[in-house]
Amino acid sequence: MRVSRTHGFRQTSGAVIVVWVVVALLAAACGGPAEPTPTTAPPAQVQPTVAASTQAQPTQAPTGVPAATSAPAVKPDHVTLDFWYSLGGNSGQVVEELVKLFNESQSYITVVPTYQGGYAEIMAKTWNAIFAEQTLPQVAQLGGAPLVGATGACVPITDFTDGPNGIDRSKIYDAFWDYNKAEGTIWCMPFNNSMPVLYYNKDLFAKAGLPTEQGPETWDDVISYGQELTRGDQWGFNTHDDTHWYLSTMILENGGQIINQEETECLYNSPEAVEMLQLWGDMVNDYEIMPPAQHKEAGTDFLAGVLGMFFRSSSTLPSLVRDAPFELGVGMVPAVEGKDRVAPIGGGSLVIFKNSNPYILEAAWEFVKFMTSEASSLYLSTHTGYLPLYKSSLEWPEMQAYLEQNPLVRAPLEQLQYAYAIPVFPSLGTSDSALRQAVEAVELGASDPQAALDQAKKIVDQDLITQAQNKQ
Amino acid sequence: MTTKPTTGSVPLWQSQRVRKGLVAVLWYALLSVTALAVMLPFIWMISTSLKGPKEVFTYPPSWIPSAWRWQNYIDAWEGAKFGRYFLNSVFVALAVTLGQVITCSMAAYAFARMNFRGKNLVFALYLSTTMISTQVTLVPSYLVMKWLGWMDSYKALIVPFLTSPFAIFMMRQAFMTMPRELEEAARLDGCGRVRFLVQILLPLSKPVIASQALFAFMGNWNSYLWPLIITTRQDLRTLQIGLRYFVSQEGGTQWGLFMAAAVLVSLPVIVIYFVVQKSFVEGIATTGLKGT
Amino acid sequence: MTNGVIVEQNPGVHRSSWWRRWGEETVVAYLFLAPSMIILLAFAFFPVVFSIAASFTRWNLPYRPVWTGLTNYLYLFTNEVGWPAFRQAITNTVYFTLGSVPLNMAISLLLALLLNQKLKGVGLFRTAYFLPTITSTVAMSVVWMWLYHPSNYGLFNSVLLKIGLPTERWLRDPLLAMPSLILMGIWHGMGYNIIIFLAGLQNVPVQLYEAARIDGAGTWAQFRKITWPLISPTTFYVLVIGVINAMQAFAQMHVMTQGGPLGRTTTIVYMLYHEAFESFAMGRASALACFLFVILLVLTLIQFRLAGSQVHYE
Repeated sequence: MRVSRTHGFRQTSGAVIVVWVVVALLAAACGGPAEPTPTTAPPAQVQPTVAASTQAQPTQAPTGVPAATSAPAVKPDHVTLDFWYSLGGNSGQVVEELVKLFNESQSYITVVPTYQGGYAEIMAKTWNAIFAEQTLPQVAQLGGAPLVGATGACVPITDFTDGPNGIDRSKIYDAFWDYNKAEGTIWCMPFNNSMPVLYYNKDLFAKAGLPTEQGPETWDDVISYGQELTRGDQWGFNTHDDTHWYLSTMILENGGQIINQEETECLYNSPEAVEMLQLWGDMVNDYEIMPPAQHKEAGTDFLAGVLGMFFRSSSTLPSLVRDAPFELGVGMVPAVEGKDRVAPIGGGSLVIFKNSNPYILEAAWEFVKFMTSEASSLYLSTHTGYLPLYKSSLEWPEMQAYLEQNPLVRAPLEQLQYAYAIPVFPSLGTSDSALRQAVEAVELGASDPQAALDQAKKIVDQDLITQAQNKQ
Repeated sequence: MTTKPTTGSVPLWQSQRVRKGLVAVLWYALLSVTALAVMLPFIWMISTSLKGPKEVFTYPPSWIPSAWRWQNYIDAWEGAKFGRYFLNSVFVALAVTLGQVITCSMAAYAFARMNFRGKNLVFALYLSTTMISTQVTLVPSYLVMKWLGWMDSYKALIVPFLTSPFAIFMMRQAFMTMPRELEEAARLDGCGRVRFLVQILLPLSKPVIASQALFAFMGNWNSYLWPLIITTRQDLRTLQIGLRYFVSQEGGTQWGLFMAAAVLVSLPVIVIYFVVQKSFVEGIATTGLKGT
Repeated sequence: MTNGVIVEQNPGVHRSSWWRRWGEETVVAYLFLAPSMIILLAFAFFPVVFSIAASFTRWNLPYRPVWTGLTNYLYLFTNEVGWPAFRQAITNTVYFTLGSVPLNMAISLLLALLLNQKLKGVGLFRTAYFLPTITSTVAMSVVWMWLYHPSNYGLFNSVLLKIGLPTERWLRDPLLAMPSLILMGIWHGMGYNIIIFLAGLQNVPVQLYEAARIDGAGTWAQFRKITWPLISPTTFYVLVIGVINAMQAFAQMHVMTQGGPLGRTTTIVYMLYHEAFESFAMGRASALACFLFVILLVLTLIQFRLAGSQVHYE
C-alpha cells in the first residue's frame, strides 16, 4: 500500500486568497464600484418587455434587450398584463379567482397572475429585477409596497385615483391611504389588509367561569382573565411570533410612537413604550399568564386547546374557524385602561410599475380599480380574513347577511374605526427585529424594559442613518 | 466483519452458526430501534397528511387519524398544478444529474491522475466556490442570467448546476484510490484517456458515481429560491414552488394538505433512492479487483 | 497521447522531453477540466468575485453600490451595534460546527458499518436512514417543533416526564437551543454521510478482512488496521465538506428559532440572511460572506495540509 501525500497545499493557501482579492479589486477598479452595468440611469427606467400585444407570451423577448416595443401611439386591440402576487394557500386561490372574474368581465385586457413566493421572496425578486433593470410585471401585490414606490420604480397611485377614470378616495379608510404612503406620496393601492385581534377559546372561558360573549376589554382584563385560565399545561395568553406588531399596538395605545415625524429618530425608548414592555414582561414573569419566548408554538397551543387567549392577525380568522375543534371567540384589540384602542394595520398593496406606454398604464389601473372595487373588497373580505377597505362596508346588505352567518367577523370589522397606519420607512425590517429582540430579552429576564428598548432604539437609529445615505 | 474467528472445537452456543445468528439478531434489533427513532418525524408527517383540519393539533397529539383522509392527497395534487411542475422537476433534475456525472468525472480524473501546472491552485479555486454563501451570490448570478438572456428559461434552471465542486472532490478522492498500475497497463494496451475513464474508472467507482448522481438529483429536486427568482412563468415552475404555495404566512396553513403535498414531493426521491441504493455497495470489492 | 506513456516507460529520458511531456499533460488536463471550468467561471467564479468587490461598497437593493472601502468590515469589527452581534454570530457558528461535525461523522460511520452487510432487508434500512434527508424543510420543522415543544405535551418532554425527569424548554431555552439544533441537524444530515461512507467502504477489499481474520485480528483491530486507513480519503472528504456546510448552516435556524432566544442561534449566515433579505443591505451581507469565505478557505487548506500524512490513497 503506497501512501501518497496531498502535496503543495502550503503554497496554495496564500495564492488562492491573493487570486480572489486581486481579481475582485481589478474588477471593481475597471467596472466602477462593483458595478457591472456602467449605466448610471436610475433603476426606475425599467421597461417591461410586455407591451400591448395580442399574443400571450409575455417573456419571449430576449431579456437583455430593452423593450423595442415601447410606446406605440395607437391604442392596441388587446393588452396582456403580468401580475405578481405573494399570497399562498386559500388566500392565493381567492386572488386567482378575482383575476379570473376580471378577465371574464371584459375582453380588452387579459391578466396573467403568477405566485412569486411570500412577502420576503417577492420583495427579493422585485429588488433584483429593479436593480438589474430586468423585466418587471405591470402590476404586483406586495407587502411593504410603498418602499418600492419610494425608489421611483412605480407610478404614484394618486395619478390614477385622482385622474379622469379615478375613484372617490374618501370612501376608503384614511388609515389605508396612510399605510401606502412613503415620503409624503401615496404610492400604491390598499388591497389585502389585516389588524391584530384577540382570539379566545370560549370552552376554556366557560370552564373558568368567564363571560364568553365578549373578549377582554382592557389589558387589565387580559391579566385577570389570564390568571383564571392559567393552570397545569394551560396558559392564559400568548401572541403569535411577530411580537413587534403586538407590542407596537400596545405602545400606540399608550400614546407612544414608533418613529418621529421626520423619520430620523426611533422612539422606542419613550416612557410610554417602556411602560408597555414592562406590562408585557409582567405578564410573563409576574402574573405568569404567558410562557416566555414561546410565540412560535402559540398557534398550535391555541388549536390544541391549551391556550386561552391568542393575539394574532385578523387574517388568520378563517383558518382558525376551520381548524379549531372548540368554540372560537374573537374580540377587539384590548385597550389600555382609560385610553382609546389603536389597531395598526398590516398586509399588502397593489403597485403599478412605470411604463412608457400610456395604454398599458391605463389597463393596469383598470385592473387595480377592479381588484379594489367595493364588490372585490366584499369578495376578498368574505372569502379570506382580510378586511374590507370601505367605510360603508358594515352597511352593505351582502356584508350584513355574511355577518349573520359569520358573527365572528364582526369584531375585526368594527375595529376598523380604530385602524392606524404605522409609518412605512426603509428601516422597518430592522426596527421590527430590534423590537422582537427587546421583547425576548425582557421575557427571558436578560434585560429590563428600559435597557432593552434603549438598545433597540440604538440599532434602529444607526440603520436610519445608513438608509438615508442611499438617497444621497 | 462482526464475527470473530473461531478456534478449535467449541461448545454449541459458541459455534460459528449460533454466533452468526446471534449477531444477526443483534444487528436487526439495533438497526430497527435506531431506524424507528430516525423515521419518527417522517411517520408523523404521513400521519398528519391523512388528518382532517380539526385534528392536526390535538392535546395530547395522536398518531393515528380518526378517519383516514386520502382526499388530502387528491386535493394536494390538484391544488398545486403538480402535473406540470412534476414534469419540469424531473426534466431539470435529470439533466443536471447527467451533466454533473460527465463534467465532474472528467475534472476529477484530471485532478486525481494528471500532473499539470496550477493543479493545486485550480483545485483550491474550484473548492473555494462552495465557501461563499449563496445568499450573496444571488444578485450577481441573476445578472449573469440577464446578460445571457436566459431569464425565464430551462437553461437558467439547468446550466449553472451542470458541475459541482463537491462531486468533483468526492470523485477525485475515489479515483485517487485506484491503483496507478491499472492505468499504466490499460494505456500500454492503447487505451486512451477518455476510454479509460469511461470504460474502466467509472464502472470501478460505481458506488461513488451513484451517490453523487443521487445528490445531484436531490439537490436540484429541492431547490426553491433560485427557480422562484429566475422564472416568472407558470409553465417553468418546479415542484418545490408548488409545495410552498400551501404555506400561507398570514392565512394559516392547511397542514393536512401541506403534509400530503410534502409526501408526494419526496416520494419520487425515495423510490429513486431505493432503486439505486444497491449500487452504493457494488464497488471494487465485489468486482473482484484486488487491492495493492 | 500514447507518446506520453512510452516516454514514461523510458527511464533515461532527456530533460527537454520531460518538459514536453509535462506541457502535453497540462494541455490534456485542462481539456478535461474545460467543461466544469466554463460553467464555474460563469456561474461561480464571477459571483464570488462580484461579492468580494461588493463587500467594499454600501449597497442596499435596489440602489447602486457606492464604494466605501472598509466601512462594512469596520462596522462588523468595531461598531457598538455590529461587533457584539458579529462576535456572538462567530461564537455560535463555531459552536454549531464543533458540535455537529464530529458527532455526525461518528454516528454516520457507525451506521454505515452496520448497513454495509449482506443481510435481508438491508435496503429498507438504508432507505429509512435516508428519509430525513429527503423530507422537506418546512415539513421537518413542523414535526420537530412538536418534538421540542416546551410544554409537557411535547414528545421529548412527555418521555422525560414518564421516566421521572424534569422537563426542558429545548429550543426556547437560551442554553439548550443550540444543542437542540445540532441534534436536529445530525438527524437531517446523516443520510448524506452514511451514503458517502457506504460508498467509501466498498474500497476496502474483502480479502484483507479474510487475511486479518486468519491472523486472529478482532473486530476492533480489523477496523483500526484495515477499515480506518482504507476509508481515510472518504473520511477526509466528509470532514472537509462537513465543515464547509456546518459553517454555513442557516436553514434550521431560520425555520426553528429565527436566531433566538437571545441571539444564541444566530450564526454568521443567519445574520447575513437577515442583512440580505430583510434589510436588503447587500454590501454588509457580502462583507459577512467574505469573512466566512476567508475563514473557510484557511480552515480547508489547513485540513489538506494536516491530512497529508493521515490520508491514504491507493
